[in-house]
Amino acid sequence: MKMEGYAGKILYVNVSGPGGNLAVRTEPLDATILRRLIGGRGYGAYLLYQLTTPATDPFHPENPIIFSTGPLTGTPLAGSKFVTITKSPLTGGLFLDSYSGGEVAGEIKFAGYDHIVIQGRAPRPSYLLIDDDRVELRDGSSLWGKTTLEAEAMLKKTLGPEYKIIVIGPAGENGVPFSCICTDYYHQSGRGGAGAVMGSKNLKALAIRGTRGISIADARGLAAFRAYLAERFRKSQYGELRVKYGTPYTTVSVSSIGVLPTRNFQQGTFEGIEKINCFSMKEKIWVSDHGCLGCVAPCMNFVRARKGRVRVVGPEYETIALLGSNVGVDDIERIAEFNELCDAHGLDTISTGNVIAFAMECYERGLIDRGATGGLDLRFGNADAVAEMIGQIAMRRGLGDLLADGVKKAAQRIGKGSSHFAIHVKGMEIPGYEPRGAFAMGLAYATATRGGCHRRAKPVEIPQDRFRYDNFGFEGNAAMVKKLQDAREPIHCGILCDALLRFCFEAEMKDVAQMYRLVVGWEDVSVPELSQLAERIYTLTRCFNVREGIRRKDDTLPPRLLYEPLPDGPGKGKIIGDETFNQMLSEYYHLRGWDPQTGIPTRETLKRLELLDLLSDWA
Amino acid sequence: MENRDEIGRVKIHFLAPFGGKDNWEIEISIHRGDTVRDIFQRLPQPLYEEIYRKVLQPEHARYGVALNGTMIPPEELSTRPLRGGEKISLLARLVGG
Amino acid sequence: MKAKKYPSIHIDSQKCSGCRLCELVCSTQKSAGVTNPQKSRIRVEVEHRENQNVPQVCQQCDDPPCVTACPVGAISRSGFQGIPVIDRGACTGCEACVQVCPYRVMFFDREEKVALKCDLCGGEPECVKNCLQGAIRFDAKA
Repeated sequence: MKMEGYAGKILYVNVSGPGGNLAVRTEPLDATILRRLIGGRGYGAYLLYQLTTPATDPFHPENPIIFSTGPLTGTPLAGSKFVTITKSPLTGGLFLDSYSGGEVAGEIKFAGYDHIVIQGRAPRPSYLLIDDDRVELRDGSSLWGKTTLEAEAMLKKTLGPEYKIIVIGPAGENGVPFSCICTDYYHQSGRGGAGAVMGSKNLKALAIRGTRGISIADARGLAAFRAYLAERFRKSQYGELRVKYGTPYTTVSVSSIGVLPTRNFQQGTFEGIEKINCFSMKEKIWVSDHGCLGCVAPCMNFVRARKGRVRVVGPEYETIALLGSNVGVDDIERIAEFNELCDAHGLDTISTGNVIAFAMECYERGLIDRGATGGLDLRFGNADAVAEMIGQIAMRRGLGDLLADGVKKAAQRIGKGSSHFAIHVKGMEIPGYEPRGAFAMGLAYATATRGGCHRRAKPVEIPQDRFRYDNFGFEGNAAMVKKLQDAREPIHCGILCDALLRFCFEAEMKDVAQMYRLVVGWEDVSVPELSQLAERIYTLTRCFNVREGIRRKDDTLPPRLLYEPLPDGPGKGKIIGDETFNQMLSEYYHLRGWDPQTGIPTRETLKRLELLDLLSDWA
Repeated sequence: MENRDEIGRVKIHFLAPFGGKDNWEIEISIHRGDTVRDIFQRLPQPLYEEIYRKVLQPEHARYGVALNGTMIPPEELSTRPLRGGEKISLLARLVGG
Repeated sequence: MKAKKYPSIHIDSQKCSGCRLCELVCSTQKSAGVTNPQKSRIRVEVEHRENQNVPQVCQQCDDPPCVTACPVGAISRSGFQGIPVIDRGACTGCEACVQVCPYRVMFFDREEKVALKCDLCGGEPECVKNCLQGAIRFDAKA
């Protein structure tokens, strides 16, 4: 069967075994489920469900780390991504899907694989070499302990620049549950601790090279479609802004509506925002644009800061928020420095900024003292302290060792009521949108698959002609959150950059259907089919979490965000509260077809979404 | 030349592409009773037309107006009187972090 | 500067973001629908630490060393407006042209064992069409 779009194979590697004897096998994609789950997040979720049980600890050798692509990855269509799927050590083993751009995504396909599944634990620090069919486990002892940037440079020097690299930093080696995976120097699969899972396998890196091709079903049609997308880009509302500033433009929009996390989510506006907004970034530190494989809208910013000592691609909006306003720092050069430190050590900037801010609030409230901080004056705004803490967290030194386990556990250990302002959902630290200024965002955080995450739905400043909703109430929010979550699914199966499709191409579901038609040759793929696929995958990942023990009570917000009002901005004085939150959540469960009491997908829903046969152990 | 009816001045800060560039500002004088819409109408015609097209005319504009840093609802553009000293910003409602 | 005798692709690497869409569309165009950067006639050299990205493609030399170097005469001026092109059937895969190219833009298809050279897609280069950054432009004959 000629496969179009797909490579057609899954690579299974087990890195256990003495003397570096690798167990390697390939399996064809399961054609009977391909249309139902496509690839990327959908197919990857299915693989993770099959390969794990609730008893599988994230650091156990059996917990797979899965690098997934989709049939659109690596094709001449749009920005390509890959997703890292595993059980998260940050959330006690819940589903984790963490996306990354760069070049690696394409290289996995060119090497001949749609998914790479790695299990086991290597006997000593190693890296995995994949060169088309050749798969070898190599000695990684000279790489262990190196920063992500150093390790990647060493591998490219030894193996050659055609190899694309996936690598972890010291934080991943030290099992920090929010350590990230880095790729192509400047891209990260940031959230949820995939770096630590790789570290627990004694796997420092993957080096991948491919010489194979991807067949396009209708290449001429795809060429014409590219021209159509380019025209939409030209006419788009925000395309030009997106390329010029990237995600940092969000500093401007978000501060005008008072949802910018400030000093551990104590405020929604930051007095120093003009010093760290996108215009400051562009003026003070920006050097050039950087893009992902196949993307016509390079939105990333290569910057130089601190007299050229800092060179990094960033800071993204989330980093400016969580490692800027949220820690009270109003210096864009220091934020770029924090970004580089996190990247080099292999830490998620969002979780790192969130947990440092938490520690700062504990310090200012006198819950921890200078004895606990090792003499550090851990007040909001102390940029030197932030830089120091990043290193301590990565290396598990001093107070960093306590914070390195995440804000939820840190609050449990510190006690004294600090859980009230430990800003996380299910253990994953909440990112850069204050939900008290946009109540639907609270629902989005509570129902996101991997925990406190903004990448499933981001119902902030959605124009009311797209959805009718009450920004400070419950009306319309459940329907909006569900629809926004669903809209991403077919793109995260692709896998393409959903930001490019949304802001630059203003793509609708029918455009996504056309992509599958042109690349994979599914003549009859339709919007209703993709809508149902979206519901299927969202419920599939929910089933994974339910199997892990998640219930309605876990779909919640931290006390500060649920019960305290913001002191500033348009949301000033407004409280989400149990009643409004529960109304949103109940309506959301109803729309998803999940039990209103427990949040468990009902049997009728599993039947309707054609999931029952895929969940072999479902009671 | 000073306008005898001027009661103050306001800054208009363009935080999105208007007039061919973004991140620029101008200062203009206001008269008694002026609303934001009134002062927009006194801007050079091509600029006003662009503001009308992107901000004033669409029922659910993709661009917004902030007064002293906080976004104001479209109705207030033609009802809220200015006093002088305000900063008016035009920005894209682009939330993409 | 000497007037150009032949059309070619002009490179402005300051504008290159390193996205390599040119490699993806070139290879797809030249192989009737298979995307494979290893078969692209244009390659982007990506230098990460300074974010310098340099597209590299045949400059359609006035006095092409590849034509002279080919021992079987497989490269001749029978392309668009007289640019040199490779006769795939005649190519023996000896790589003499690859070695001699001063810009290192003669590439080699390791699977089919033939040399790969930009032929400007007969006058409408696909890579140029798709580069929205303006890093590569079609430079017509003077």
